[in-house]
Amino acid sequence: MLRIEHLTKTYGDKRAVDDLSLHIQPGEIYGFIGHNGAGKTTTIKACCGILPFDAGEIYVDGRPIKTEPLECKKILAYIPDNPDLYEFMSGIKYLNFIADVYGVSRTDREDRIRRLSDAFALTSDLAQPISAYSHGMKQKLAIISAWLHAPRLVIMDEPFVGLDPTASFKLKEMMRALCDEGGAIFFSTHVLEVAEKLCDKVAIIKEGRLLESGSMDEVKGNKSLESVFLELEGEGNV
Amino acid sequence: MFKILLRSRMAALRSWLTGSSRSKKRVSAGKTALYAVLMIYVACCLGFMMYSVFSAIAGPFYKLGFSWLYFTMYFIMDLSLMVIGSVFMAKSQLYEAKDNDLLMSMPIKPSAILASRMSMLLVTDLAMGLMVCVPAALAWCLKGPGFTGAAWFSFIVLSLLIAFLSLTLSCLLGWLLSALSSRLRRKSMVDTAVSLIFMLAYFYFISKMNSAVAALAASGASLAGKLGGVAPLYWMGAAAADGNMAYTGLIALMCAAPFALIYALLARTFIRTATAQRGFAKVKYVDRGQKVSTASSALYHRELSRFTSSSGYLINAGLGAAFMVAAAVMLLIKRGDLLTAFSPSPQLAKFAVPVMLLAVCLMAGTTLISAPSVSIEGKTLWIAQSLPVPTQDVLKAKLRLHLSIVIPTAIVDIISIIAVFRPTGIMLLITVLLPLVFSAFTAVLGLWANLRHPNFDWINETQAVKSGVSVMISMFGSWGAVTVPGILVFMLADAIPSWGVLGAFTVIAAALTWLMYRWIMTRGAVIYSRL
Repeated sequence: MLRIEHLTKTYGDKRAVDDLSLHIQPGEIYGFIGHNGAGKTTTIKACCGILPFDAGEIYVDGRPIKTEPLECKKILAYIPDNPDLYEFMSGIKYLNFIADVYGVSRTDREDRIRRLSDAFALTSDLAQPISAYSHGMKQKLAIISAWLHAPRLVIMDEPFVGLDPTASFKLKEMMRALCDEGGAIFFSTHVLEVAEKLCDKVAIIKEGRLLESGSMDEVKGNKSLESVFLELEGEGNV
Repeated sequence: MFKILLRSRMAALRSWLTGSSRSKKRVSAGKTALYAVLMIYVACCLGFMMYSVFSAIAGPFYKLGFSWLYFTMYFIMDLSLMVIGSVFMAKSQLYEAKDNDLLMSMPIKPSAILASRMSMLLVTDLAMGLMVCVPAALAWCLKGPGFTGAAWFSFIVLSLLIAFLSLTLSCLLGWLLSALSSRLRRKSMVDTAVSLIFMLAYFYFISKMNSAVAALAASGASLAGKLGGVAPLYWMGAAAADGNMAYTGLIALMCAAPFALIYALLARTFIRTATAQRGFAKVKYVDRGQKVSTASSALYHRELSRFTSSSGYLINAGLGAAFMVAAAVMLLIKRGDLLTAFSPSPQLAKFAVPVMLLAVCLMAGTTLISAPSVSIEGKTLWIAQSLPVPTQDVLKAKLRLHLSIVIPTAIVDIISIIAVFRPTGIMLLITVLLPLVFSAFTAVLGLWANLRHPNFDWINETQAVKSGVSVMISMFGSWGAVTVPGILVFMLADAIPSWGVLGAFTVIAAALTWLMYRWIMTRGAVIYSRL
């Protein structure tokens, strides 16, 4: 569903991502772990076609993001680390805007808006301007808008930040359901316990380079993901 | 602590004035020079306007023995300009500053936070006051008797202290505006309404200035009688005119005491005021089904919603369009006067339509909707970039918004010009084409400039609209473009008919519009997708 091949991205002299290769298969929840500034957000933005990269290639469902960005964007959804949404719109206007742009039919959008906003307990707030939303409410709206066009690949940057426990649980359910239907999830997180319980596969990067990747069992073995992460980070420092 | 806070406030003010970024990007010398030239230009324009007012009344008032009235007028104008100029800044800096929460969580006295913010407002007030103070002093020296040593002292001291009175009023009005707008669902409504009231008052003042100044000079005695009855107004003027120390002390006290009172009050209640959740009644969502529209329509309505929801964007970028409608109405109302003004000779009459057309172009150049349309996306740019729509469609929506506002207003102007001056033949064709072509030119010029000079390092939307390089390029570029045919029409009047100059201008503007449009749809789209 998402294939990253030898991705390299530099900012001036700094290599933010260095020859990174990953393959996320349909049905997989793929966790992306690394310290702050490791290159996670750069990789994620490149995968969504909103950040040009210097070398390598990214394929979404077999299509190269560089040459076929629109086709790729139609089947993926992106949730950034900070839900900066259009504060001049109300929640429902924003959802309709997204649905219009993705060409979601009336019946589909009505059904999904109702179902998803109920699931995240946001229905009664949909008429409010987004500027009146809390961080968590904006995050919920960003999640609803991401699922609105029934994407096959969802790419998320720290999706659990700001969510209440109920919403976090709901999001995890939705992630699993999407993968059960043949979709895929690629997301970054600092919450290693969540990654350990939720992810089928995991990749750990440091300073733009891939330290470890594979299935959760392959990566952590008998240890916890946290101890593996700290060990790898420590080795990187030597 | 106060010094650190003050330094940060001053840095913010400097950054706002020079258009420099928060991300520590170096501001180019050219950009700084451009801002400096612009600031000096604006200050000179206002200063010159003020000088013309004061020089007209200085002599007559002195001769009538109403020197005090001259200074009373000065203090009133000084105070009005300072209050109008700083009330919105007081609202945003004191009561709605985004870093209030952060600062109050630190071990800093609320009074120090308040003092640093008020100091910045005071500096702004004093800077604005200079534009009235210097012309008033100059006019009194050149057209009146000049100052004695004591009068100089009183004039300077009171000019400084009147800024404290202005600050007091700005704090009160800012609080009132903040309280009002926070209770409304559409906060921009209050800001827009108040801004429009201030602006209308300003333009009314400008339009009536000449007759008002003449009336002032002629009716000094009766005005003196009326104002003299209000003792503080008399004390204020007499203090600066005669160097009366008793009056100076009294007025100084009247400026300082309310300020001290408001400062003490705000310092005591700052945390409560700054964290007040006034809020409006929550509107509960009722599911009535959803409307479906095309992606293109959705992108257009996104631009329209952004434009209409921000008073700063609406007023600063849409003023030209409002002028165009007002001009069309005025043209019809003042039809007779205008025809008479251009009728004395056929030589003069032939300039009527060209002058009107160029005036419409100037107003179209003041409509700056597309110029900040990329910058104003700010942190939400990721949304448009991640959507499965061609970047060209996003940019077209920005142009469509600009055109959908300015083209109807241009058509209204065209109809008025045709109705009043009845151009025929080629001039009729140019009357129809030029405003439309130039409106399109301003739309693409603004977007072209913004794609070349985007600025996402703004704190509030008004800053994005007002202080961007693209806005200046668009406005001055349009005005510059209008000036050239404006000069040529008169200079080449004997050699080339005005329709020839304006026809060539229309063709050149159309060609430039096409070239910039092609650039936007090709290179501009690439730039936008990589921002």
